[in-house]
Amino acid sequence: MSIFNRYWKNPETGILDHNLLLTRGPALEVEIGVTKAHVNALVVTNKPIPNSHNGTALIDTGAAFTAVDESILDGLGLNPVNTVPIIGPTGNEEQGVYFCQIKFLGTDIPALEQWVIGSKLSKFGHAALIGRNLLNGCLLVYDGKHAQWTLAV
Amino acid sequence: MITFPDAGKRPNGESIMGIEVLRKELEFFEKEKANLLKSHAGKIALIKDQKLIGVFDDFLQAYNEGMKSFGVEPFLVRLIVDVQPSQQAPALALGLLHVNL
Repeated sequence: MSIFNRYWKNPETGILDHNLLLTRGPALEVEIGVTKAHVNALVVTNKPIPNSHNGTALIDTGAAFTAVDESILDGLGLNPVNTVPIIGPTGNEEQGVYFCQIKFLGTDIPALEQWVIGSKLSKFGHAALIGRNLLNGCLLVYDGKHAQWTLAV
Repeated sequence: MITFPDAGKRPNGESIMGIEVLRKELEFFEKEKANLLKSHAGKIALIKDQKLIGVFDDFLQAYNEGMKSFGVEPFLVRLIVDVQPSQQAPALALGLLHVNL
């Protein structure tokens, strides 16, 4: 089992910062790219492979699914492979489902080839939202008292 | 028969990136759903150009077959159920991922 302990430090004092955990939340550095199958399809047709996108992924235990910002998926040249109804404040809304690869930077979690839902996340400052479909099988400890959180995979 | 006249549009009329490329495949799925449910309920259908290409046990398997056969062209990978299960992410849906009081 791999255990990742993360915390936010105040960049000026170097001290654990409760306020940063409160405002930024439990977030991991991720790299989002195309799947191996997509790379193979591009290679066969002599098309360029798009650069992966780095950003943060916020862990959200309230989310049933994992989401990636639409502009990143668009930049990778991905087509949706399905649609799903998402429960919103004004009723269900169909959103696109995409396959992409997610790497968790600075960890030894294997790269995942995962279906994700395209969402508008950039306005929140995150590239992705990690939901319960990825947390399934993980142990997550949110320690607000000590301004840190731990993920065991 | 269920149609998707608003595929690619949010309730407010705003365009949803890319979903419109699946409109014909979604309509085909709805048209064939009753037959698919009889023989393949709970499986994953791979549909391209309004044809059922195959039925698979999981999404990744169906997706990989679609990529192998059709490359980066659009295709549909859909759970064979009467009503697609809805998903939820309350904080995201309500715009509450970040709140500063």
